Order: sequence, then C-alpha cells, then structure tokens
Amino acid sequence: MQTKTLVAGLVLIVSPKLSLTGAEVRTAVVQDPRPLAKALEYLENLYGLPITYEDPPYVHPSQITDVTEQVRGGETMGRRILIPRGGSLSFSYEKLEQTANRTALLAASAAINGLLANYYQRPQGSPQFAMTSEPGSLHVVPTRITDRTGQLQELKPVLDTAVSLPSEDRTAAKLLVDLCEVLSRTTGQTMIPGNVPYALLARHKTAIPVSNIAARSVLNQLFAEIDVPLSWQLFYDPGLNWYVLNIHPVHSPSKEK
Amino acid sequence: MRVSQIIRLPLSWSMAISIALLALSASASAQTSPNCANWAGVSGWKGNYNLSASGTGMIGTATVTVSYSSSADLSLTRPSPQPCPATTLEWASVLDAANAKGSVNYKLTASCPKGGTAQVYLNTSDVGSPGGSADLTVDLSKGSITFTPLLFAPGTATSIDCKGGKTSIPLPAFLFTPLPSQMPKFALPATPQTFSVQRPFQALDVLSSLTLTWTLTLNLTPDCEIPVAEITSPDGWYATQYQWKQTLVSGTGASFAGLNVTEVDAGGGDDTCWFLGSAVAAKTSLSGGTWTVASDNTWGDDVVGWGALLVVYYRQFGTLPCGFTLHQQMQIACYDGTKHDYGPVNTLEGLIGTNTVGSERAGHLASRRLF
Repeated sequence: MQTKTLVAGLVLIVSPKLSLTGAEVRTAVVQDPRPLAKALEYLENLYGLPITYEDPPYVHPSQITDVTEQVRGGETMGRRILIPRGGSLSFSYEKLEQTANRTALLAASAAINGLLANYYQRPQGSPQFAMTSEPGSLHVVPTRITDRTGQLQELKPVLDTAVSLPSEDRTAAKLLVDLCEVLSRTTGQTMIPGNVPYALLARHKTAIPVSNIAARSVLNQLFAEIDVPLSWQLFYDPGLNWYVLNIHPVHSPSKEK
Repeated sequence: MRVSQIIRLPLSWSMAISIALLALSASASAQTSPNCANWAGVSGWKGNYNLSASGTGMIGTATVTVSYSSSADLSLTRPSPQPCPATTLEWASVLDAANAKGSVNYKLTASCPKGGTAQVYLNTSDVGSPGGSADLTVDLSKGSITFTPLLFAPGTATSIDCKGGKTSIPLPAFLFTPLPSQMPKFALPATPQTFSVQRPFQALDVLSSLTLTWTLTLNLTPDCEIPVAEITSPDGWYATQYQWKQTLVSGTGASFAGLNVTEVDAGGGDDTCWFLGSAVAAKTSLSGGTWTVASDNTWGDDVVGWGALLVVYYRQFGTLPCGFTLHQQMQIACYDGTKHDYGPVNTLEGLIGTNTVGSERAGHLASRRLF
C-alpha cells in the first residue's frame, strides 16, 4: 500500500482494488474542519461535474472548536474565531480513464454514497447529510443536526427555503446578492455572498422568475444559463452564525496519477 | 483605378480575343459608418476561393465553348492603415503562381465555305502571371462585401484554318476571372465573422465575349491584431472594491472594438485573510471574467478588491491587515475564436486594513478609508 498527499488535508491511499466494472478503486482520507465538503471538492475536480455542498448550522458545542489562538496568535482585538470541529473521513472512488458525463455522474454518485455511509460512522452527534441529484450535477445537503440541547433534530436545508423576488432584469451577481438578502430575511439567519466569480456573474444578465421557489432551484436555473459550469459551497460560520455562499467554476476532469 | 489596359489580339476570320487587365479602386471617403470600428479591427483574412464557369455560344457564325476553373489559398492583408471614419475598407493579396492554380478550355469552331471547319483553341501553361490580385472590399455605406480575384495566365492561341494550316500565337497574359464590376456583392454581416459562401452569378467572359454562369466558392476567416499593450486607468470605487478601466494599444492604430478580452489565472495566488475553517472560501485564483472591447478600444470595469460584506466578515476577527494577491494574464479572442495572450502578467491585490480597503491592478493602487 502506498500513500501520498494529493492536496493539503487529503491523503490518497493507493491499493490495488478493482470495481465490478474493472476500474481501479482508490481510497483517500481527508482531514479538515469540513471533511465532507473537502472530499466532495476533490470528487468534483476529479470527475469534472458540479457537486454542491451545504453546511448545517453548527450549534452544539461538540461540533465547534475555537481556533482563535492558532489564527490570531497573541492579538486580542476581535471576537473569538470558531469553526466546525471537523475531523477525518475516508472515502473510496473509481479512477476513471474516460470521464463521459454519465459515467462520471454514476461514479461520483457511488463515491458520495460511500462517503455518506462512512460519515455516519463518525462520533455520535455529527450532522447527517443526504445526496440529491439533478441532470449533470449532484447536491449534498444536511438532513439532521444536534441542536443546542444535544438532541438530534430533523433539519430543513436552508437552500430549500422558498423565496420570491420582484421580477426584473438583473445581473447574476445582483441576483445572488438579492437571493442572500431574501434568505436572510426569510430565515432570520444572515447569509452573504462569499468568494464568487464576480466578473463572470456581473456580465451575465438574467430574468429568472423567482416566485415562491426553493433558493436551490434559483441557483440551479441561474447556473444552467451560464456557459461556464459552476458549483457552490454554502458554509456556516458558527461564531457569527452566518451562512456564506461561495461559488466557483468547475473545471474539466483532472488527471490523477 | 479604372480598367487600366485592354489588349485586343486579332486572329483570323475577323475574330478577336479580348484580354483585360483590371484592377480595383481603393477609394474611400470620409463618411462615418457605425460598423467601421468593428471592421477596421480586422487585420487580415485567411481562407481560399474557387471560381468556375462554363458555357457555349455563338460569335457570328462560329460556335464557342469555354470553361474556366481557378482557385487559390488566400492571406489578405490591409494594404495601408484604414482609420475610421471610412465608407470602404479593403484587404488584398497578390494572386500568382505561388498560391493559385487554374485551367481553361477554349474552343472556337467555324464552318468553312467549302465544307469542313476551322478552329481556334487555347492552351495555358502556369497560371499566375504578374498583376494578379485578390481583393476583399467592405462597403459600409451600402452594407456589402465583395471579393474580386484577378488571375492571369500566359497561353498559346492556336488556329487551324480551312486548309488545315496551323498557326500558334503566344499570349502574354489573359484574364481567368470576370470583370470586377460584375463580381457578386454579399450582404455585410453585422460583425466580422467567418465568411463562407457559394454563389452562382452571370458575368461577361472577356476572352469569348460570352456571358457565362460563374460559381464562386469563398471561405474567409478574419484575423485580428494582438494589442501591444494595455493601459490601466482609475474608474472610481464600487463600495469597497475599485473599478479599473483598460485601454488596448494597437501597434498600427487598429480598432479592437467588438472583440472579447478574457482574464485567465496565471497561478501563484495567495489569500492571507483566509484561515482553515473560514466560511469564506480562499480567494487564490481568478475565475475568468470576459469583457467586450468598446469602440474607443477600452474595456472594463475590472473590479478588484474585497466585497463590502466580506470586509465586514474579516473585520470581525482581528486578523487585519490581510489581503489576496492574484496573477492575471489577459487574452484577446480573435474573430475565429482563437485566444491570444497579450501584455505582461498583471498582479491584482485586494487589501483589508483596520480602517482602510485597497485595490491594486498592474501596479496602479487605490485605497479608501472606512468608517
């Protein structure tokens, strides 16, 4: 067995296994405050198809860690810096020689199913997730969290929230700002656009009607209009209790050696 | 220029073969046209043409059968700078033996008074005598585009008289192509683009004096010039981000209007605001914005810096000053879609200070105080 670091926080374990289709199966271990998001990011790059991720709200102390000292050192200004506790997570995936859309979608779905199964083995109290799919993309959304009292609770993902916006022609960048604003108002939880491809979004004009539809559907419709494939990661800041919507382009499948 | 030379070659039986040497006018007036800037940005055209014709007719009592075929690879360039405003724009190249080929079949048959026939026929050797040209003219005032090939070839006219006597006369050059004024005009597309047409048209054959049906097949793709430099200018604040406007510099005064420029990530990005676990993803690469160049060769704005809400986010944690550094390579997309790097790699920076925000593009800095 060989190991090598693929990206920061993600180690590949090469073992000579083959899937039923004859493809080589590889195993990787990821270590991160958001290990599931990190693993999905890796699969997204590998297969070249959008795999979106949505954080749950991290509210129970067991799910949060204070990294103020590591990040800020001796500086005393500012609030405490809290992040998800995270940890490590292993997952297996097929190394594809050709990443045709359907093959990649199937391989990614299989890898995510395995990933979620492994995630459920994590310590009690960890949030739970489910995968949903749309043509050409996959979404991983939170379904259960441990609330402030330590009870496991069903969770409605924040992007399932139905929203409405006035009809108008706007840029995609403006639509994102408006979407975050309306979600903040509707859910009572601050949501802001994070790192987004602003130049790309500012150029695209859209007239998507937003009338009592899920925020996720608005994003899907918007991304379907843009000729660059895009994906999102909705991260939760447990110190500020803010959601941050990050958007990034999905590149062509990467070649893994 | 007008028709510059006509040579008549007298042959037997009072028949003549007319050979015309023609060139096109390159006149331009100072009338403004809205499309001028777009078309003046085309530095050249590459492609090929094929022109063929055939026909049979009577000249007096003689029967003439004629057919032509010619083709050439084309690389048309601007013969001189063509600044706007203008009503016509022109691109041209020499058409000679190096890029053209062709053939002709000409046969004239006349009955002899005492029976039998007399004949004149024509043979060609290599096509591409001096004086040949290919010319593409965009007439902005009329909204038309015209391609005019002028191809010449030396040849030999051979006559066989009623007694079987054979006479050969060398021809220094005869025209393979129709009169320029009879070449078809095509509707001008809204913007420069690959141009592929096949069009039959009627035009006089100066050799036989017959009106023939010609077929022109033309495939041309516009070239563009690559900017030699880019000037970054301030264009004001957009909240906590700065807007930079750019002007493309041409080495020849060409226009880049209507072309798209795109940024690509040149690698090596860094984000010192980000920390492991941050809810804001690290800003370490460019996403590839695209802008269309305006008629004054400017594009923008390139908005550089941290958005206001992200400034608020990172100001919560007491980790300032911090910022991102990205490296941007600009590319221009030519009319055929190919992209070409231009200018040096630009450094882009967005800074968050305790009381300020800053923006940098290509060595130009802007900062403002926050309250």
